[in-house]
Amino acid sequence: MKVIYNCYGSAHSSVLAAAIHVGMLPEDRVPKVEEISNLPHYDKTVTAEIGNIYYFGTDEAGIEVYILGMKGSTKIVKRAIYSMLGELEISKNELIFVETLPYVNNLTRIGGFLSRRLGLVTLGRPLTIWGLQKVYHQFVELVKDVKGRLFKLAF
Amino acid sequence: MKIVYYDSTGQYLAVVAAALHLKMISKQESPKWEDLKELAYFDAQNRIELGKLTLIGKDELENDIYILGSGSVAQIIERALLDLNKLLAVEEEFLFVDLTEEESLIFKLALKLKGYSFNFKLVNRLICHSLNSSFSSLITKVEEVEKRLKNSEGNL
Repeated sequence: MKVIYNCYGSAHSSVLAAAIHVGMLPEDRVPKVEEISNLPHYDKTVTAEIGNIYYFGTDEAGIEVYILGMKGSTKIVKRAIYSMLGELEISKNELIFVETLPYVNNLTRIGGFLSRRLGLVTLGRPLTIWGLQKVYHQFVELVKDVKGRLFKLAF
Repeated sequence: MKIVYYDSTGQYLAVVAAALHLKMISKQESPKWEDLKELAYFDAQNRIELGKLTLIGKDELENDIYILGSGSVAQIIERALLDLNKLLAVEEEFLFVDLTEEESLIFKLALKLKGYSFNFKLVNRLICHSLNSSFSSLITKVEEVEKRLKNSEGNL
């Protein structure tokens, strides 16, 4: 089984959630700016790379964690993926998608737009981090919930 | 191998390309609207779900021929599916054929008008005109795929 955290561009919220999941970020406090900005793939993915599935790490239960950007077309991209799994007779349960976009606030949205779309990294990146720090506990809860679901599926 | 012809709608260029590949329509002359309407999934908005791979048939080399409507995320779907194949260690090879670049401005305009239920006869004529303009490019793309398939068959 593999977990794929998906968001718009696989640059911010999915990276944050995946990092919490694999233990790169703490669950008991809000991480510092550099802890977030130094994460692999953080605020790095360019438009031409959206859709690539990036391996992020393996959690304590041996589950592989990935990130994926689907732009605003989550439904269509997921349908394509499940459709392909169906054609290959692979169980849908092999993959668990976790959408992180609903947890993103306007600060991160604006920062992401400035950094990724307009190339204003110096201005945009701190905004994305500030936005994510403000709702960090929600991401921690999300990951806890995902791990709880994975535990139930395993036993 | 599984061949996926895709365009933004999954109802027009992809259907025609798949039909060319499966020799359901002739390469000799541009098809008429009435001929195209005979093809399953052509102009069939209610039967095509964007993102869903739809199997059309098998070619003479036993390759599965699919169509796909990719909406505005064609490249994203292709990248995600190819990456997924790798990470799931799928042995079956997929070949994606992007037809979105054949979607002309007239074609896009016609689709917009169709969305507004604008004079269907005129819209269908615009779509047909656009398909006919792209017909030779579609033939070239399908022939490139066939050539590639024959080569890979020969290498086995």
